[in-house]
Amino acid sequence: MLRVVLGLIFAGLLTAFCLIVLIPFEVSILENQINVSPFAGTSQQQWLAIFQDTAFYQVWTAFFFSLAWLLASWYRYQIKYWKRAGGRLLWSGFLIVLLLFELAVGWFRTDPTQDVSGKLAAILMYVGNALLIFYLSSLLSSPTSVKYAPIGAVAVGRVNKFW
Amino acid sequence: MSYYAFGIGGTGAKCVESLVHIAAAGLLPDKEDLHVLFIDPDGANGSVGRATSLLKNYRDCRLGKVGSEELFKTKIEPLRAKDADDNEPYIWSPLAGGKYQLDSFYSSTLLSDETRFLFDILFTPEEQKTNLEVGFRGRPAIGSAVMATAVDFEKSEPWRSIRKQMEADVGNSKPVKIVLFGSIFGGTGASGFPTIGRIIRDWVEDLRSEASSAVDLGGVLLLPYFSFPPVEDQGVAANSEDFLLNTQAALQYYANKNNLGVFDRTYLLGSENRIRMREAKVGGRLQENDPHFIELYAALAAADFFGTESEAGAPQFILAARKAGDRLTWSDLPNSTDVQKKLVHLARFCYSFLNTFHPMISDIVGRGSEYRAPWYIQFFKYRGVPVRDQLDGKLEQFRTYCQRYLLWLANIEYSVGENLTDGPNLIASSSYATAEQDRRGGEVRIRDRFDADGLDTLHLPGEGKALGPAAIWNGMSDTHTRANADEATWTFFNSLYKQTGN
Repeated sequence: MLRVVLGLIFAGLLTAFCLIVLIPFEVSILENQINVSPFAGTSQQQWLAIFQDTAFYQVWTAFFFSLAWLLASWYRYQIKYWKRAGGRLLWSGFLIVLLLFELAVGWFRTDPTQDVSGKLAAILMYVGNALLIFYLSSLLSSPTSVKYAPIGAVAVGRVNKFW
Repeated sequence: MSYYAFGIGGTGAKCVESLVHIAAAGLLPDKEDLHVLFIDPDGANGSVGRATSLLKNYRDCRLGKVGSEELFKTKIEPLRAKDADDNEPYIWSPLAGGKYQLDSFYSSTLLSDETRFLFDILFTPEEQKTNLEVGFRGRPAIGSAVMATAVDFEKSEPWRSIRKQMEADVGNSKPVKIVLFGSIFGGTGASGFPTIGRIIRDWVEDLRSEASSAVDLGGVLLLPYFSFPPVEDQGVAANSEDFLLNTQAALQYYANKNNLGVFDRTYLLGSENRIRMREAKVGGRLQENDPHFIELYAALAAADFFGTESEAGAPQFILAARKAGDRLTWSDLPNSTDVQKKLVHLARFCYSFLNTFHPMISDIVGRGSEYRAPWYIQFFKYRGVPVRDQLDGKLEQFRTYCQRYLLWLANIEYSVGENLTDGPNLIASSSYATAEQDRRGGEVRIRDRFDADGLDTLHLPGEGKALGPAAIWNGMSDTHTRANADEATWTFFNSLYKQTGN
């Protein structure tokens, strides 16, 4: 249970990082580097405000998916009999559903831009934020019985003795 | 300290079998080596075969042991003749040389007339001609005659090598404790126990006084505790209906001749409720009797003897009894808290290994997806252990041992009340064993799949609940090791042993 609590704290810290640091940074990238140009009827500031709102809710969505994975896997994978061991299918399911959700919500909530790269960049940022929170928190703090379920966890575990 | 255990006859071998199991559980005192010898003219005897096979299994498991856990802490070495093959289990037969009949053993045709007449008075023609290759057929008089001639500490092997080894121990200021196991009612045990005891005592008395005081001789003598249907059409054969009479006669003889006075300590064990063995055979592979709780007492008696300081003075006789004749509880056993803790702990280890960890390892080797078992990655994958080879090696040896241990425990349980389901006496065995009734009676077998909650029924003494299977899995998954590939497998066993003891 301690690992679940630590996992929650870690997911929370990543969420806070995204909210406080990453999203403002992404807004600045979209405004200054990419210089998104919405179509007539929407100013750039309005477009960026919608992006920021959407990113805010997407980040919280990723946090709750991380929470759901931590709790569901901790509950589901109390291994009384060896055939119950596993977790990768469930983890992959959570990841795919989260990414599809982020893509769908991001696509429909984000107004189109004259240069398609603007909207694509915004969607990539939504997905990247979600991956950062869900993947990192599950990679580093999944419950003990499924700590190697996330793809890549076996390689990371070889050097991470805290595991 | 050096420990020596001689299992005389089939019952003696079964006592040694129990001794090996309690040694695996860490119940023998300190970490001295135990030296074991099986004595039986019937080298193919099923009970002896099972005991020697177990001993080999134990030694295979223990090979490469690292760490200081109680698990398999005692090194057990079989005593052997000087030129014996190191890889074969050693069973000493007093009838070596192919002379399996009493008259050929004594070369009766070469005896003088007076000796020949005495020989004919003491032994019937049938007894003289009986094939003794399958044992002394419940005739201790035959066995005593053979044993007294064959056991020679000066000239014959393995006795000469054993004597030299014990003398070397004494010379190195290492006290020697020797225990003999045998039955009072059978053939080999009844004849070998007093005879070999006397021969050892004579050797001890020939030592210098300070050396002789460093050697203690203990005897664990089993009174009748089982019966079997009469053996048909086999000529001279043991008859369980004569056991009590034989016992009475033997005890009277011991008292008159003070034969038990050769032992510094004698443990007398028996059960008024004699369990009926499933099948009666004269000897050979099929004469294999199931383990019985009396043999657990016998093994604990030996552990008590090994762990007790010798006291000068009159020989001591130890008696014990259960509180209720139809039950056996932990408090009926000597040193009950420690015995319960270690036997149950080993049972939990075996249960977990057989039900969870070994099948998981096999499945990973066959189908991959090792991420399912974090402990596998940490103990085997990261350590570079060739697991496929280990499945045929150390892991298989442990799997075999664990099955043997649980089967032994289930038989112990069964022998109390001849069932497994009517409430546990010592350990609830029905979660991992069944007793199938067939025409031969109840045969205890290990289940193919154990109950998922069965581990929770294996209670360690003391307050608090022991870890369940999920907690053990998590505990193993949280354990890290820096062991190299050669040590990693034993490190895994040590960790599992530690987890199952919490």
